[in-house]
Amino acid sequence: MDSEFKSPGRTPAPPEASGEIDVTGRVLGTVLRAGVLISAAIILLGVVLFVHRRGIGAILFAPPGLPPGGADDPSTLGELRAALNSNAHVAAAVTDIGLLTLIVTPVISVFVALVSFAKARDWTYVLLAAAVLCTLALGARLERL
Amino acid sequence: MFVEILGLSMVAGVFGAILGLGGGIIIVPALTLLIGLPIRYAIGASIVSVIATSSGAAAAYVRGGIANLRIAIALEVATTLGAVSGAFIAGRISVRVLYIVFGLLLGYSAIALLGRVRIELPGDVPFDRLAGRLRFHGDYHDQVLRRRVPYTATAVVPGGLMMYVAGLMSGLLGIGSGLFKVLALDVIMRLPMKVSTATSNFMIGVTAAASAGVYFSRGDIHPLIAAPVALGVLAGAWGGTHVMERLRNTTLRKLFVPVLAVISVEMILRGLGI
Repeated sequence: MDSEFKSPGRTPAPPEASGEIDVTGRVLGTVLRAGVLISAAIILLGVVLFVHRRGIGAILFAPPGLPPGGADDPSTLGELRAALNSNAHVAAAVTDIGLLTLIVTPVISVFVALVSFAKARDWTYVLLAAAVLCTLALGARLERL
Repeated sequence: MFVEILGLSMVAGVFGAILGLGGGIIIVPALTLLIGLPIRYAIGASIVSVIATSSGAAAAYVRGGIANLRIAIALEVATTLGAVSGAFIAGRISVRVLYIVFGLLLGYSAIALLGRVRIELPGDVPFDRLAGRLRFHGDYHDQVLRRRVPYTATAVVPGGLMMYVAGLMSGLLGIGSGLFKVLALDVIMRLPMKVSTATSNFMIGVTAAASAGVYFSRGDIHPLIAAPVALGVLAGAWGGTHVMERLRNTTLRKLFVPVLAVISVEMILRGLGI
């Protein structure tokens, strides 16, 4: 696997001015940071709700053999909506929304990259970013098979 | 339990951010071996951990220009394809096989990294036409060497294949397979180690997101486990990025080889039922 060519090869071309990447990088960094902070806040809210409902002992001393997600853990959007409206499962639902926010953050960052590449008229990379997004969409669809 | 998971996740976050591994490599063994959770939830939690490490660390690396966006996006095509195929066949493979595959994966990575422990910067690499066409080059400011380090990638096709395998493993085992990504970027494509780990950090979140939906709808992402994992890892990753930039490329490798080796053996033994 290791490509151990010791031949000098051609020296690398000098990197082009990376101004455009810096701008993209800054925008992308900001998007990622925002996604992380928002999802962390929502997850924290879910945990606080859980502690409020069942007491701090429920998370400190919960038995290692956890109950399966089942009714407590909404796993489709419909269940999530139902859980949000029910009193008993609201904490799990809020936590799940935070987790979902975290999960979509990287996807949003690819989309933002695509837009930046389009602005720079870098069509090869617009195409590649689009391919990544299409595959992600395919993955989301496969889960329903 | 919440507190233990939170603590473990912080450690995983720090290591993940430094080494581009997403922390799944620590989370899965820690949750199954130390806390005794079923591997199903451990894998679900590690998917969350990977995305948390990735987004948390990449926010800094992308801003700081250490992660290479073009390389990340282009190779992500191969990785997401692998992730989708992996997640699709994941429910159909036995847990013990997963342990063994996971263990072998770690062992192989340890050996591969061992061979490169002393290399600080890759220097000139063989010319690769595809790398030229895709403009797989850049430069970053190295805080330790105190200068800008220019670099160019080589061997894009083998690297891309390795990236597909990385995605496959991610879909199968719930890890971002940062290990395989770092290997592809560092060992095969010969990028500087810091660029490899930072770029891998950005990529693993996207890869994990490809299969996260599958795990979520299957109920493998348990809120009570995933919440402390997400919070702990985010905090750890944030701290880890500050540490990484101040480390030598060689230190990064030396840090992790022994950890990998130990966990590898543990997982294989567990898979064999010993």
